[in-house]
Amino acid sequence: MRTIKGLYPVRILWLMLICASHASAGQINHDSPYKDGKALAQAVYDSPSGEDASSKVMMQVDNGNSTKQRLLYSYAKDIGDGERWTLLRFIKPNDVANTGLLTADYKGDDSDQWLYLPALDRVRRIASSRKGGRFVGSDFYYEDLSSREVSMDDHTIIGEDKVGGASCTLLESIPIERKNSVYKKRVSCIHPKILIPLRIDYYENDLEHPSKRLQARKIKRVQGYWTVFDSTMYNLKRGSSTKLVTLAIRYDQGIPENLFSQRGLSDDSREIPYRPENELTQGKTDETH
Amino acid sequence: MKLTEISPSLLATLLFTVTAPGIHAEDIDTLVIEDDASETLIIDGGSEDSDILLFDEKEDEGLLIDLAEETTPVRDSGSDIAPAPTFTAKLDRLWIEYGHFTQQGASKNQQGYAHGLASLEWKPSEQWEFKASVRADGYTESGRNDWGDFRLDYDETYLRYKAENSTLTVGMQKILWGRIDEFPPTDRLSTQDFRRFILDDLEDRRLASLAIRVEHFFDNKKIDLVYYPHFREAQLADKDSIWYPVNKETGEILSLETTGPAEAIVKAVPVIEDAPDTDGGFGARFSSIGSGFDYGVTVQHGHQTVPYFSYNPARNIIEGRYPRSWIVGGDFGVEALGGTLKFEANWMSDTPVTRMDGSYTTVKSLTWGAALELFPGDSDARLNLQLMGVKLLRAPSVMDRDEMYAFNGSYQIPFADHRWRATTRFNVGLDEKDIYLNPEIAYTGWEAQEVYVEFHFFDGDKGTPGGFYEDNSIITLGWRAAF
Repeated sequence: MRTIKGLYPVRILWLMLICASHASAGQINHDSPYKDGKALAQAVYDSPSGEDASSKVMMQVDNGNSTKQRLLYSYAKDIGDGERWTLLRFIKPNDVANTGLLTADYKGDDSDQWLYLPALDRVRRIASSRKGGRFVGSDFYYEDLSSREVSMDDHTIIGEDKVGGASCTLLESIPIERKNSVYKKRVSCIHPKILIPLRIDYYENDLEHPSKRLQARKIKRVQGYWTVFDSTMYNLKRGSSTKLVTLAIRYDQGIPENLFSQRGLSDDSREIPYRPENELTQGKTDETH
Repeated sequence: MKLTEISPSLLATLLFTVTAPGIHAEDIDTLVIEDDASETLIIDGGSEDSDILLFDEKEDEGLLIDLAEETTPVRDSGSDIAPAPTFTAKLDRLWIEYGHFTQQGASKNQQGYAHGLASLEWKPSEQWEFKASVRADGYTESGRNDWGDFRLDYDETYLRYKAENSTLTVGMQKILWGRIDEFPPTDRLSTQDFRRFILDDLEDRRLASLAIRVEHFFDNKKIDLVYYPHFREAQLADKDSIWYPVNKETGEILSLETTGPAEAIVKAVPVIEDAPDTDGGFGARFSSIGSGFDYGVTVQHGHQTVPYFSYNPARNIIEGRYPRSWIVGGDFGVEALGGTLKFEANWMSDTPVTRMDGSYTTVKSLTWGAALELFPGDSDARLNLQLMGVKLLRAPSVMDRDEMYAFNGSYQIPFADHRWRATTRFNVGLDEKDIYLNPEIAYTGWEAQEVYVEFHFFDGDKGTPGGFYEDNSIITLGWRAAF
């Protein structure tokens, strides 16, 4: 079975938004066999998490004196050979409703990205090299939404820590090529059994003090895949935060590749059968908040 | 979020999930138990179908790892889920604006604009879709002569059928082809809304027109076929409006370097803009998106929707003409120079011009535009820079500009935690003085609404749009909301 791979710590952010999934419990390893940081990063990256996934996500941006919410659907599919496609569809607020963002991540640092603007009914290419900039005004950067392969960083295990009472392994990741990341360093605290970063600290300019922190709040297993249902990105300098709540998620639906196309991007009706809450109409259970 | 805020719900969830079924025995062999006395750790021991809760009451954070697996069976395919029929009727948009003209030479002092859009949408199945929209537009101008107008009009109203790889749409629709912003050269058949000249963004400068459209998709390619059974011309401002493209007081016509005798005629004779009662033409566009490179090619044959005003000696009128033309064009977009590089061009067989003796004819022309979209400093700011050119081919001596080059674009940056946005649109002529500047500050802190103040500045030589509207510089205050 092909799987959505690449669960390298940086991509955890992406996954929380895209499909929020991680290692299957069946692959829990209890003896921390990772001989070095790269092995741990690779283990996280290689964790199976489904051939495809769709989720309904609420993003709540809190700037201290105002709060904004965005509701969106995300769809992800592993094409194989390091290629992955994702489609985001905004539902709320109304002024961005039906806007779509299609991303193709290829092996290495290559990617393509297109934006669908419903007001113009036009698909337009946007620069996928963009890494900084706040994604729809949130505390996530565009880089946080794209994939990052293990080989793009130097990884070192630097100790152990606890997050919310859970023990986790501290993994430091430093970009080999400085220009391909907004961050100078990331320190992830990875749960050694479920291979999910429970916390990630991001260092932009100051190597001593992180500028952002991503904190997982709720992790649950769905269809055998560990899934982050609740997480918050804190901007430690600005004092703002962005909470991501997965309202519903489904894996392995057999989402067709042609959903990740010019038509799929411009026609939201194509994706409706694959929206995760459609299971509810059949009397099946799902996770709601 | 503080732990105290989430504790009750989390705890309830955890207490429930401790006994929740559905964990396969092979999933969990051993659970780590932390010995740290400072932690509260709850583990449902004894059974392999356990839940694990790691919860630290001392820290200002909580973490729930819930092993109560979802038991939802996996669906084999999404195709067996048919979307439920939906019916929606709603107010889509409201927009009000007040403007004050800043030039002493302006014939008006102030203007007002109000706009509303409402729609009804019915989707009885995955294949069929019906949409009906109505728009209302109100205009007022006061000054030397007051003027006002209110128009109720259709907006997008169509029946759509979606097959596996194709979509058929019949009805009033907006079809905007091309790649670059503001003035896409290959967008030639869509109906333009010129009632406020270029004060509004591109999406607000198009009107729905009757069309039959077939879109066929394969791989990441698209063939778009459109036929306009009835020609709908561009909507111009009322003749009493300050935005009408013929100035009866000066005798000038927008974008024409009129001579003295021509201006005398314009002042003396009536202006008629009757559009032909005919079909609007047809067009085809093939487009493709792909790894690193997108492109499109198009062939169109149809009426120009914006009238070209010229003197008709037989009827002794200034007549709005809508010549039918062949258009062949293409465009591409590629990631380059740290951003997105776009190019778009067309060749037109019949571009209207006015000879120096005042007579009307058509010539061939080339129009092109090159754009570079950047995010300076890899931040939230967006910069779009465009070079545009128009060249008349083998044109006789005419009042029109036989070559025109312009530099235009926009810069947009949110600030104050994305609660405010600053935008500047601009257009500067490169061969003649032709200036349009449009700085704007908008408050976007309310969901799906914005309050804005903007300035539209026009200046230029005779024969340029900036020159024609140089007395129409205006500062506006407005509110827009999407519902």
